[in-house]
Amino acid sequence: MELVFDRVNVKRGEVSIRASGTFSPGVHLVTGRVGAGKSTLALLAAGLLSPDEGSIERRGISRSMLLFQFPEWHLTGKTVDEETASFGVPAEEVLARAGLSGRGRDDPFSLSRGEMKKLLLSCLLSRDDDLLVLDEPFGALDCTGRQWICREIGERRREGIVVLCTHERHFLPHVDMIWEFDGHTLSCRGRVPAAIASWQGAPPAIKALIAAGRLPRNVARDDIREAACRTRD
Amino acid sequence: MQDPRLRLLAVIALSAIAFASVRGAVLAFAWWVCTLEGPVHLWRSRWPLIVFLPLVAVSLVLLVTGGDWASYSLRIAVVLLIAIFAYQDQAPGEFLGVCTWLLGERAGFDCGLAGEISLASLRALESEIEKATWALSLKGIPVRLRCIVSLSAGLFYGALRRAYDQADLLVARGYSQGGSCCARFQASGRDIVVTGAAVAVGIAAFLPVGEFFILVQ
Repeated sequence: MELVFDRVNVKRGEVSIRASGTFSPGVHLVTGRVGAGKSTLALLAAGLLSPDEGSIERRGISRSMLLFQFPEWHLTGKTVDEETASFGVPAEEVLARAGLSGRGRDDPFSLSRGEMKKLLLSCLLSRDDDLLVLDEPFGALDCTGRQWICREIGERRREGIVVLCTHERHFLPHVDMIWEFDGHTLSCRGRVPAAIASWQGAPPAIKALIAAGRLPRNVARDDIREAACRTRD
Repeated sequence: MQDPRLRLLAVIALSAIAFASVRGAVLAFAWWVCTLEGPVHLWRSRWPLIVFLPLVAVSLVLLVTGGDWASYSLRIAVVLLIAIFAYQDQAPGEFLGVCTWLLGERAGFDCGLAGEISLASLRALESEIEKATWALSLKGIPVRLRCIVSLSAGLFYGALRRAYDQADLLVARGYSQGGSCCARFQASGRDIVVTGAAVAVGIAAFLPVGEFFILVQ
């Protein structure tokens, strides 16, 4: 199962976003500054946008799903139950997972943005997609919510391809590969942990650890804490 | 077109002649095709074509009731094409600039602001419809009447929320009535030629050309 970007170039206004590389099963962290092209990459990966040049090949991927940056964009149902049903997932289980038990008859627009995001993440993570693209999944979530999503993503690591596009710097799940936008061009930094050393936009805590000669084993908070408490390598 | 004042002049002239007569509509359509901008914009984003649906309905009623459906349909279709061109060729803020320049800092600014907010809502709606189609496509749901009803509720809710936010923002910035807008207009040579052509077409449409040729003979 692979998602292959072959010399992809897409124009968004005055900007040209370029991407080349292969996404294999595992969690891929895609980082870059705001406006670099992460959301465009997410749309391309999910097949909602076609490249102006180059091609995108989905080898062995039969089902894919994208989490939009803004949860309202997903809503197509009149009630929370209808919304969960539209994803083809069991309502009760999903609502319990999102902490929204008993709110199935509510209008989805009556939920706060954080609740909407948890509901949608819960729906998406209950599905069995080969490719899951998450565009800024941490937005609108509090610390507990962010930790929850990190755990959930961690559990899916070996089940398919997860592309996580985010500029979050404090709460990250265990990832397998790091990708980074240099300007508007996607570059693969490689497999974790080796990739962490060449990650230019790494969070300050990771940069400080690297400067002190303590390369974390991964990018999650527990890995950073472990590296910080490490007495010797 | 770069200069929104010249675009407005061209649009007013062409809409008037297209509405007035079939000959005017044909001339205005020729202008729309020859300037190329209208067809190019419409090719890139075709959703404004939905404005033709009510026209089709009215034309059918005229056809059934024995009215002059052909002339009406042609004239209104060209007016709609010109209106779509005016909408698609416009950049955010231009309408406010033109209205303030034309009608002054009180009525002009208010009129421009109301128009600008409406245009921004249309652009937001265009973007939200695209997102809603993406959501349906991701979920594998075919577009049916039931989906359109629930999606419309979401779009309506979004538009209301934006309106409240904009009203709060205007109040927070101290808006009560009127305002100044320091718009800068720049007309290219092409703008002048294209507008000149629109005005010439407008004059030609109202001139009794047949009688002129009789006089020449």
